[in-house]
Amino acid sequence: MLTLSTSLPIIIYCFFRGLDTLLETGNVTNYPYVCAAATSSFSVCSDTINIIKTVLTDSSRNRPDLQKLIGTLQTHEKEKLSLTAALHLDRIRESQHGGGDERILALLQEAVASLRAKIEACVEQINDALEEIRYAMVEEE
Amino acid sequence: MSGTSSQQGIDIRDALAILSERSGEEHSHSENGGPGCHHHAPKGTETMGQTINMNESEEKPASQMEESNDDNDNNDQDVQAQQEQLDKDRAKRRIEIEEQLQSMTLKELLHAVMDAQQSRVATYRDYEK
Repeated sequence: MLTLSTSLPIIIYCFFRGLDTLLETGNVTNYPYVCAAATSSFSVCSDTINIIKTVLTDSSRNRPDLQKLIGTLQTHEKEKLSLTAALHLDRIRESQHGGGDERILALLQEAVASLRAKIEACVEQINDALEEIRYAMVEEE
Repeated sequence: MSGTSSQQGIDIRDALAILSERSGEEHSHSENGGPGCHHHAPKGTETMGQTINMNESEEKPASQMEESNDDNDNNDQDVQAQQEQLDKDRAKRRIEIEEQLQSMTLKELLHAVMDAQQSRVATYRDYEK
């Protein structure tokens, strides 16, 4: 069974907290490092899944259905990550608003709520794709 | 003071003499209508940065702008070299992973997808919290 090595991101996570913790402390200067560590880990995951997708096109396997399913999974994951990055930026802006124009604060809060809803929709589609993959796993047993 | 200003730059001995004269002492301007005050930068060159060319064999004096550009170029080259190495490592890792995956059954491949997905979930948890 393939095991993905995530020791380096874990070490970095222990040192540089996630966004919630950074916002609680009011110091988001370490956020770029959090992003870098997350990007590294996501990159490994995505590379592995993309290679599996390529392997599934071999003549010995010949499973275009699974290849398409994994492609759908990757598309939704990519969208989820983009929305998550945008959500983080708006949360940071919201936390640093400082009580100025209330209309701007309301717009930021609205943007945060909208992004959360879009991410939830992405998660549902990802879960649907994963369910299909689990069915395929059961069929192989 | 011998002025050997030429297109190749000021004589180093003259330059050092000028600098030592400018070193925080009160000065008086020349009264004999000589070549002019050596205690101020020539008019119009106040914003120019220039370093003394210690090597008389060079054709042009090095400017501060050129020196800072060289430093920036070195940094850019280092970053580029690092990026190239990262790309090479990534390509190598991809080949190794592909070789390992090629030997796996379909069931094992699908398990690997689920494992990668679990890693993503854990990464999101840490990314958010």
